[in-house]
Amino acid sequence: MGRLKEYRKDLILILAVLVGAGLIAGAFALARKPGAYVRVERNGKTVALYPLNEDRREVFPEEDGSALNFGEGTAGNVLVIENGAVHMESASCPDKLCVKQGTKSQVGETIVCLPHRLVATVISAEEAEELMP
Amino acid sequence: MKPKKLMTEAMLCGLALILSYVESLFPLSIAVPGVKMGLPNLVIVFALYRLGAGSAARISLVRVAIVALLFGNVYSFLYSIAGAVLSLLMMTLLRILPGLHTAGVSVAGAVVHNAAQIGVAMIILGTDKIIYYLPALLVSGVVSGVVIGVLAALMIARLPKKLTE
Repeated sequence: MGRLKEYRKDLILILAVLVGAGLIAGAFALARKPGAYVRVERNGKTVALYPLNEDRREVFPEEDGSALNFGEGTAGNVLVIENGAVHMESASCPDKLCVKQGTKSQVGETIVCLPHRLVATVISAEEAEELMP
Repeated sequence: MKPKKLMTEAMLCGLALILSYVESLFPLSIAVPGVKMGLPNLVIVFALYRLGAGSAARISLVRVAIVALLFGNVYSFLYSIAGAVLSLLMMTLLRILPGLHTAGVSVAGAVVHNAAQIGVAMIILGTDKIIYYLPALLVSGVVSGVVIGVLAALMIARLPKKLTE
């Protein structure tokens, strides 16, 4: 136990970070509610808005001048809405993190494609109304 | 600067570059963007303790610049530079505090690095919603920080004194 005592401050720091992460995650979990729309943004600009209650499959081609294009099929992202939830079906980036992020349906949940700077966010009906022209 | 110190720094920078490359060969398949092992930080922590903050900063900045030129783009550079600068500042400050070891210092560095990258992503992507990834990235920072910190402690204790005197 002597060694553990020596590392007391390190352990306190680690525990503090973990408790902080838990509290933040808890706060996010409490704020969960089912979403109504999916907003798709590229470089911070809204490029599409889809209701979650209609199934669809949309292709977002990669922008010109993007540094990443590996020429596998469609260069870009394929977004699918099914059964009131959204997921990324495929992507032309190397890591495919957006595909691995899975299915999202709660307000505030996002699917992020960093290489293509594409973000899909589930939003509430009220938020969607504000965005509609 | 003495030639020997410059040489040691250059060698460590090369090692950090190799670790960056090794890390890119084994991407972690976790559904959270930005989760990494942080292998290059091993070299930075070692340099911080054995050569000082100035050396660690030079090694870190040169590594980030070269990685961006070789493998990256403007955006990946912005993510790395923000994480590198803030985590090094944090580790430099915490190293002075008594009672913290490399594990604690490197955890703090990793956590600040990840938080900084979320901050840059929020600016680049123009959305605040990715803050939802913060808890996951804090936990991943703790895990990689502990591993890197323990390995760095071994390197600091065992690599020959002649290397850095």
